[in-house]
Amino acid sequence: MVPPEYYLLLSAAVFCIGLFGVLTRKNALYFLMSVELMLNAANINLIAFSLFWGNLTGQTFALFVIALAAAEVAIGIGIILVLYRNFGTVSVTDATTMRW
Amino acid sequence: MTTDETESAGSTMIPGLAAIGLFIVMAVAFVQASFGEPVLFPEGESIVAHIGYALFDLQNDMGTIASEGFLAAFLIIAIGLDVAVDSAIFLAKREEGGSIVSAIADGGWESPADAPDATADTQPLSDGGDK
Repeated sequence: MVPPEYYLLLSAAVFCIGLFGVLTRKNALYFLMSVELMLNAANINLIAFSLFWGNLTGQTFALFVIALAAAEVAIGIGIILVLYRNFGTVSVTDATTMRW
Repeated sequence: MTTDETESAGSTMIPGLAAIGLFIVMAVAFVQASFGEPVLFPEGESIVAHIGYALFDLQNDMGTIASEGFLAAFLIIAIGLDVAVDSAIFLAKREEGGSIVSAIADGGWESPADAPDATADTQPLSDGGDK
């Protein structure tokens, strides 16, 4: 079996790439993709430790995280559509008002 | 889509350093941690089947692989996904000239009678507006 440290390092790398994207990107689509990376980093940990401990709770929970990510993308893309329609851009820094 | 996509090197330097620093801290912690002996799954057991049993809380069928029941979480996430789909459709609607234009409406009219050629076209608009 691959030692869990390798999974953790992979997960940390993916999480940090997502964090970098969240901190630097202005495009809402890239922002959403970066959040997905962070969620998938958590999934790697859940599945790695599920395998390590021989317990299915982690893998089952990873399925819920995937479903949560799908819901988040559905709403996120809806928000991006409205953002583009009302501001003419998908930059998260341009939408500074709650009303237009 | 955005006009200011290209960030300057200075604006990404600090977030980049923060991300790399966080990775180094986590990597040091992970490498120094000890996780004990792995337990692993028993041989010959279907993991996918057991995930199904765990999702629907079928305790009698769970067998030798340890898990918990997730029926309540399954139902809650199902409702959450329904809400997400409804929200996405609501957000995707747009109003043009006072009428709601939706991706799943009958050609953009709230009722077939509102269509300009409603009297000429006798076919029902049950195919999503495609004529």
